[in-house]
Amino acid sequence: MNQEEVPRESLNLRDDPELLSPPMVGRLYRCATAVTVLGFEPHAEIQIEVAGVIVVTVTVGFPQPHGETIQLPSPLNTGEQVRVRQRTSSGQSVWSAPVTVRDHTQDYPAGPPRPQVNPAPVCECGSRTGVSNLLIGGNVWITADGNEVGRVNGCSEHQGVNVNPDYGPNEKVRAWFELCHDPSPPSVEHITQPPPKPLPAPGIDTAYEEGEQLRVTNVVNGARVTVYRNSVNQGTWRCWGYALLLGLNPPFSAGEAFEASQAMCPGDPVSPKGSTVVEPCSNLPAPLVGPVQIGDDRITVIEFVPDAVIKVYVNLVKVGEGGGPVISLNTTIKHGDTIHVQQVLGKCEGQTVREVQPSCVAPPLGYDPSAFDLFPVGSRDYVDGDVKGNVYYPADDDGSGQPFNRRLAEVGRAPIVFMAHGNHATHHSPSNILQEWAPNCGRSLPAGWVEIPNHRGYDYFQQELAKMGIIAVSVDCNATNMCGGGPSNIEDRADLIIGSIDHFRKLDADAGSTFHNRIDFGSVGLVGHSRGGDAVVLVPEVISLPSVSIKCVIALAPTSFGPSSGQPKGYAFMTVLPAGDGDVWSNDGAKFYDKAQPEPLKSQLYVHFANHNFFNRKWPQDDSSGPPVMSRHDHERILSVYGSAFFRTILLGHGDAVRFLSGHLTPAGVAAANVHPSFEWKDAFTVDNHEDGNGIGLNSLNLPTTQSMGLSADEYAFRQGAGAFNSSFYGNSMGMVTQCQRVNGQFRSPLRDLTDLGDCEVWIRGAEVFEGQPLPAGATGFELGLEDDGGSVVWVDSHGVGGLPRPYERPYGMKTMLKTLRFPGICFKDVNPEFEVGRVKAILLRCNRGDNRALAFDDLQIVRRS
Amino acid sequence: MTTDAPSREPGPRWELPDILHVRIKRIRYRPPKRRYFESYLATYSEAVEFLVETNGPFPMRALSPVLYVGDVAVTENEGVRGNVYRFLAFEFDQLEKGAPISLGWPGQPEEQRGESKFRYEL
Repeated sequence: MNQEEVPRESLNLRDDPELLSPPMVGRLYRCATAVTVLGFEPHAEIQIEVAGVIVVTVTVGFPQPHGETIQLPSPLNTGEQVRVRQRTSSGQSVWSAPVTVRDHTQDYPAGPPRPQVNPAPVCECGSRTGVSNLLIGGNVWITADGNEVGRVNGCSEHQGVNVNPDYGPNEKVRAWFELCHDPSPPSVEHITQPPPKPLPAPGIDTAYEEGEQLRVTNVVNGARVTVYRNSVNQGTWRCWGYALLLGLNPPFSAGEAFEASQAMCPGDPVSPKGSTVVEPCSNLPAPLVGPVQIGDDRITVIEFVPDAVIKVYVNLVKVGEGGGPVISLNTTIKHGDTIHVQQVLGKCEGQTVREVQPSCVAPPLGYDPSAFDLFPVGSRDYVDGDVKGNVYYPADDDGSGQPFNRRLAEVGRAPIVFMAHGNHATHHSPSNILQEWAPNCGRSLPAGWVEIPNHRGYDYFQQELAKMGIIAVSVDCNATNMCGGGPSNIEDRADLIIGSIDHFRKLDADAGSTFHNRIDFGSVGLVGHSRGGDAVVLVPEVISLPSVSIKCVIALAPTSFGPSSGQPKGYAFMTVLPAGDGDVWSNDGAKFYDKAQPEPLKSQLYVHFANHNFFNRKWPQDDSSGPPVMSRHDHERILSVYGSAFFRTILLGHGDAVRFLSGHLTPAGVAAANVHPSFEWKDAFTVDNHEDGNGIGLNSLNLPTTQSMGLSADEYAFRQGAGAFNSSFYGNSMGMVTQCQRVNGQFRSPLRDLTDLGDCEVWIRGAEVFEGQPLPAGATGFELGLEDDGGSVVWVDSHGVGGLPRPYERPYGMKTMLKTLRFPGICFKDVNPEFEVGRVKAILLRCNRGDNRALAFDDLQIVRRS
Repeated sequence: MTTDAPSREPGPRWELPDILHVRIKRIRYRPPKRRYFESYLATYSEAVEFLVETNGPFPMRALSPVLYVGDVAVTENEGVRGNVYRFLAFEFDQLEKGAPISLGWPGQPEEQRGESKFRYEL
């Protein structure tokens, strides 16, 4: 997707003042006494219709930061449909799409999710606390040392709660929630902290002429913020912390001065003032727009002035107007459309607008799949001879040894995941954690050296899984570390992993155990890092414990010593390959991915700017090869976010989460731009995977392919060794490499029957082949074409679906690593409406760049759109 | 206030020690006993053992050094004591008499391995 800021005056944008987009409401549940409305214009009149009756008409304030939560005259009932619309002085929107009220136990069988104090911590003398992770329209309250100090009935999703009296020192603060008299677990307990002394000066974001909202930042949690306008006190507001967005009247004029200070404890000095001067209208920038792809019927703005009205034009005609961040359109985006997005503050129109060309594929930003916080987290260590480790689990409350969560137990048994670390030193010097050693196998240990609990390095991921209802065990494999190598060392690890599974089977059967009758051994997942990643591919092949069914495996930067078959099958498989891995530099997990049977799926994440070690918190050294890598936190987010999406899909049945792995959604809160995914479904229809041994002249349908117009292609081993195109291929597959002597050389692969691709996507794995240093400048690409019954061919460029990956620069081990590109059938129809996308007879590839670069392809498939 | 320039910590170098001594003999082999499955080595009753003494420890990392006997990579190994390591070859018919013995990493090309003064003789 391309976007740039362009002068508004040069365009003839046709406004339609009467056109207003409908606002939106989120998911609604029975018993809710309020509805949060989003996306309206400032000061709009909102009407809410419940079950065909308008029950509320109210003039609201501002759509940011969290919409308007409007109280209802009576609680909602299951099955009722709710719609909203807005009216301003210029027009009235249509009704929003109806939202059907559900019972919350449909989505949260073990009770409402756990509230989060957000932002944390809570400060002594704090006067207001933010609580998030709430169901709209429920009741939230806060206790300090067990006494209720604040409450909001009919809350929003992220609710500010004023507390009275202000917090005292060392108070134990928790947030509580209930809906339909069904209580959630309480929040994590927070102990009030002394506020910073001296208090920092607040900041104030840039404000523009005609604006009405001022955003004050750098606010201490629970502070009282006083705002001055041209030195005149405008009032004092409580703030939960971080930032405060407040509305002021009248609208701002250019050159006006705003100041803000904050205060906490009486008697302590008030902070210095932060200040800003209102910018003239002429400085109002264009908003920044999120991804836009063909078929979208809404636009998301990701940087904009909070109280601005956002206007959207397609081909210079207005198609939407609202308060952001999401604006519904009265049309769908098509190939070749030009989109302009403008923000307006009162009478102020910026001099520039954002011009956007949509892509065929530009996945929208979704949620964070690791942030599914339902339960408190209990933990404990376990030892059973040489089988040992630790476990995090959904509990009644946080802490070591807490009882298993009773509500979850009433719903049923919980899935369980076992993790295994890799080969690493077992001890470090007491004075230098980078100085490591292992005393195994007859080696001595210097006095005073400290044991490295390698298995505790994934506690962040274990805790996130436990919060969502998955028991997460990490197996202590230190006994196998630094005492040898080869396949038998992997067997040692597999034996310990199975030993831990067996141990938990015993706990499940033990009436005195926390886990008695709590574990679903029919839903077992495995995670292994490094040699542990090798072992978790072996375990499913050798385990014979009764009633244990391994449903999914993550191999994180695995080795491949064997002695497994190297062909994951019978379960869903994911591998994470750090492109800058300086240890397992050959990214051996690619071999597993290539040979894995997708049952029902397989996923590979090739992660740029990632190393081997930073996924484990106990492995301090940056082993990377190549450019500087991401922070340790960013590594952990990769495992947490994509690993959670994987386990939620397979172990919890959250079908939407798989869209983060297939590339249909971009997860929030992670460096997704560095992740290059490959993905395959079991039920995909394979046109050519080059594994048939029938040569380049026939595809996997056994139909003759053709090469023309200067393109030459052949099949090669995509692995190290004999038969490879060159030494840059590291997986274990057969694929195709194309080279073009002329621009627009073509490769044609026919289908057996005329195929309707209108509701399908064509997937192909592809990459630019590494052919030596220095890398040629700039990315290359290709076009994928569909040929219909009448011989018409429509082409879509790889650039429009995310682009072809380039080799990752590193001093050795440069690789050709393929990723999956998706070409939706709708794009081809959009390019040429005459094209018969319902009667496709061949898929073509065309090298149109003229740079003579070799391109690698594999796994040409047709996939029904999910 | 001055601004410091970044000084990146070097990553690990993974340098292998030199071989000081190699003792080779054919041995009777007793496969490891696993509690939960049979080892892939269960069918072997004989092996060729290479007791390799080096001038330093193996680097601590995920990959394990292998002993190259000519082009044959012997992967099974364990520490014995100090800098003495035992490598075991099970398909020893593949080992060629007189082949050079060297330490290397899996997949490492011959030209990148150190020169060897040891030869395979049983």
